[in-house]
Amino acid sequence: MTFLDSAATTLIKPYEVYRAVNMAVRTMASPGRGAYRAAEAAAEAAYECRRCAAELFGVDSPEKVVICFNATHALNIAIKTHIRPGDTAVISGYEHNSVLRPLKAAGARIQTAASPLFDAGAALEAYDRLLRPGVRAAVINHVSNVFGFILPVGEIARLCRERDIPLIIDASQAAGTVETDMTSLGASFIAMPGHKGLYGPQGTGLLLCGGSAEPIIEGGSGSNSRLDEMPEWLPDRLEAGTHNMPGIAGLRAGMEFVKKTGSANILRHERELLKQTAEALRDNERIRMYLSDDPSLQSGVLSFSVKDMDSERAAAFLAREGIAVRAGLHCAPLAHVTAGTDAQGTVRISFCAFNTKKDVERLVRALKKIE
Amino acid sequence: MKYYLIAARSLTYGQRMARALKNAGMTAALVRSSGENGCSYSVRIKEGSLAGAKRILAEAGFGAAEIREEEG
Repeated sequence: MTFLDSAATTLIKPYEVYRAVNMAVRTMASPGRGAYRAAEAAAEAAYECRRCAAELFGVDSPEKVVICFNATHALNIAIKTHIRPGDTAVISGYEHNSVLRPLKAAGARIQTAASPLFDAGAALEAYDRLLRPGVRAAVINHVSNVFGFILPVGEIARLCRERDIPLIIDASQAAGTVETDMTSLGASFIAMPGHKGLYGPQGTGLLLCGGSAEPIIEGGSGSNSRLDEMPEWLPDRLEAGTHNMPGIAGLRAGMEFVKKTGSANILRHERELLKQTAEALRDNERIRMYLSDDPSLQSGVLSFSVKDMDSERAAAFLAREGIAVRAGLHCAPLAHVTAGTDAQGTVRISFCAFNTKKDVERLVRALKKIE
Repeated sequence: MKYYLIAARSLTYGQRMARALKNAGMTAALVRSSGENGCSYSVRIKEGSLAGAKRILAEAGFGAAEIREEEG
């Protein structure tokens, strides 16, 4: 199988991740629940995961790195910390349902800073117009999971700081490739999955916390058991229940891989494959690609449509050819409305550090056969 | 032998305390302990190390903590 769906999850992991997961399953109990070796091993592994994330993302203390089940869990915490019914939230035109649905559930009045695809200047202007007194929080999808559009998070973060509006960054497609630094961004929260660009197992995510947060799950925290509420301090406040130690150990190994390889190098590799794809498909009259004129505004994610063919049928054809892609609305209907692709959706290919030129060649050959 | 237990508010906080002390060359172990609110964590150091530990922890930004004696 040629796996080109890393924006969903990186199916191919570094060997160290498999080894770490195996080791954890066999040797780690639950952190903070015992004074014996297996519990201490788990505690050490969890701390190292937080420490590694703190270094990778510019967080000043490992305690401010909260381990979650996925980015959706992390975003729910962030959004429900800030938003109460009737509060105004400003979002981009490219948000995922992991932002839209919690905002709706929290009763937010949503204002969309809509902007054309791959127009960073327009995105910044749109946020500038809407970030006014009375806005309770701003949310931004750092990199669109549909189009790979890299939004101007740094400039928008600056506006939020200047206007004292908490910013929640969805780094689901950015973490591991596009630079994400808590210290310089000064965000209230940065949420990310462990299983995409950080090459960890599914069932992991991280929430980087710039301040206090409200729990959405209450339960055992392994400490202060007589308290009938979750502890006030991080990370305990947001981590109820038994930790996913195989996932956490694997996530740490994945992040060490990203640190060793260099996120900029991974992004450069993915962009080269995207460029190879674009050049090879340029003359295929049935394929319409959504490409940025400025490569610096696009990550290793490419959406395209096939003329006169529903995106799901195109993806099914590619699957029969042994090529894994995603199709439809990608859990991001707003992004499709913004870009004008909501009628049919798109086929999306997304690269990872382990894809090669041969993968692109197989894709291009298959697309030539599509009817 | 006498030890001192320096209370930590959480496992992660205690891990950070222990590392700050170890990085400064001090012998320190994170242990489970019983606190006012039930299970908690403490960093255990040897008798004679208390003054140095307090100084190192203060310099590293840790706030004042409850300290208990324990016979080892």
